[in-house]
Amino acid sequence: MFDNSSRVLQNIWDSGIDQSITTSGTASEVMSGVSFSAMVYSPYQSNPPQSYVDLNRALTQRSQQEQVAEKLGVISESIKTEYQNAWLGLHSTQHDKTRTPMFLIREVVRCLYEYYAPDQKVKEMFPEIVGERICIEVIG
Amino acid sequence: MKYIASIIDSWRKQTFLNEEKAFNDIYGELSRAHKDGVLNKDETKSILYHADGLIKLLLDSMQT
Repeated sequence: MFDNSSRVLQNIWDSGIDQSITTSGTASEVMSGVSFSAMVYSPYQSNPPQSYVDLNRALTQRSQQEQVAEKLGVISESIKTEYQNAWLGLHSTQHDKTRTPMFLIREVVRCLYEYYAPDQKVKEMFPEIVGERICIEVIG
Repeated sequence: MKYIASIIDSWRKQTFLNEEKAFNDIYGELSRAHKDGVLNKDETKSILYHADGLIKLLLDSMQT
């Protein structure tokens, strides 16, 4: 079962299968013989093995992706597009596949912080930080 | 983060504040994309999923 979970997860990552997978689906959509429902009824629920955690994480993200994208779209269509492209790129890029998604998601985070906490309003609420650098620190 | 927390409904605020450090750190974590060489796939995928969870939490927290 562990191997199957790992293989299903790897298959999800490598195949480019994207929107068609939902948490209510069965693994037969991806690979015959293993049901995603095993995640729910796993005897390892209290301390699941890493392969289960990884698979569950991937499926949760996938099932919520459209919902998150729609909310981002209310703020800005470009943020929504960057968010969608990040996950799309993760599945379609063959070499160093996380680099571009990391940049895109970072940009989504930056835009959200800027949207919800514009510098001017932050300075008004916390006048003591005026003159200080309040933007996010970047690790080089 | 403190500003954002201040404009969140009180009943959602604590959940948001529980992740305050993560919200502060995630931008830097995502900036590992600047590193030379091929990125560690497992490590960076974890960061991406973490960031996605935080994005969802932020959006949910700000929902009126």
